[in-house]
Amino acid sequence: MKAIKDDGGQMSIDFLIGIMIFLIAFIFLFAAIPSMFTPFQSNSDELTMIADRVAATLVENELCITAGTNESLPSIIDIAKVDLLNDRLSNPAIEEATRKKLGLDNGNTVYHLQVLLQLDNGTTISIPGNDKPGNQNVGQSRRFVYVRYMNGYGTAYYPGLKALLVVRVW
Amino acid sequence: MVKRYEGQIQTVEAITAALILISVLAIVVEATSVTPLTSSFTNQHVKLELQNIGADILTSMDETAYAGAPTTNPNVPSYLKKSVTDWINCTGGYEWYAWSNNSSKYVPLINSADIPLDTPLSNTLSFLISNQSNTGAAYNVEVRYSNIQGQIMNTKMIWNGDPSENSVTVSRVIVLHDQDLAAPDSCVIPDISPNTTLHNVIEIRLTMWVM
Repeated sequence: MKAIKDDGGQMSIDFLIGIMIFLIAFIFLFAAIPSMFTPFQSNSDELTMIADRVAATLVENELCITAGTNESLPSIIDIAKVDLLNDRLSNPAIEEATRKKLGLDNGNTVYHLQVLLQLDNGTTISIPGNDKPGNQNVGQSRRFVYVRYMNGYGTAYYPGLKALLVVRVW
Repeated sequence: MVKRYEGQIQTVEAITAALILISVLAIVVEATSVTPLTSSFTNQHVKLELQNIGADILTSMDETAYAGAPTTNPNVPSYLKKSVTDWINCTGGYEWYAWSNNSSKYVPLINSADIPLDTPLSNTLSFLISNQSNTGAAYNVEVRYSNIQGQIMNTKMIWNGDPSENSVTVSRVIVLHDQDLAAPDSCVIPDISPNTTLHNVIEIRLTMWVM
């Protein structure tokens, strides 16, 4: 058998060491490259926290029904206050000030805000209607509320329509 | 041709190379596998969101009187209390319910002849499962009470199976009086104070998890 004596073209220990070094470098790059770009890519964690805080402010304070002089009912929302918020966010003169008032100002940027009310009766109210998130990062938070129509009838007047309130910040 | 072995890989080297390649693939796959339930900020936020929604359900239903208009009458039960007493007083007696996708209702688990659960709480949970506001979550409702020996007992109102590891529970305490119940002496929640109008103090526990 001539073949046993013929070592030409076989995989050597040199090749193994070489390919191992190459693969280790490859794995290192795989692990390191995504974190190299982290500072430039995602602010969605921050946006999510802002969305949580804005949702809490709206549901537990800004939009909720007031009873008596200084009491408010958390998670029960007055539709008149929803309309008022919509007016403020749709008015270019006070829109930015309204967003700042809700804590959407981090010193450099005033974030955009969209509030969706997905009502029990199948309709969805969008505030403000013309401001929609594009393809950037969006933070979202959801709460359950009752929406009361003080001028309405039946369940819309009391206890209110069940709704899911969605807050989007970008 | 047959005699020429140059340029071929030999068995031991082939095995070594294959092992290296497979281990690299394994490391790469391990390193990047992120699922919706992987422990991360996103996962934490999903739980926080469920906790907020659950607390909102219990708060809003407990502060709303079961009436056609706002009332200050203390004898009118809240929506949450009404949900519990309707469940206790229902004709079939004490019963577990589970969500049915076919009928979009909470249907009885033990005795299928009983009617589906129709209480304010079950209607709210149905709304949160509906297409209009799909939260992608499953809900369990349990009622915890103490018996006359002071032991804490647990009973199920809505049971959709064992919750996952990432479930969230919120709870609220409700006081029941004898006059709230149709049959105070024979209902599932025992009377812990037979000589007074107090019946029992129950904790209503809402467990939520993402399916």
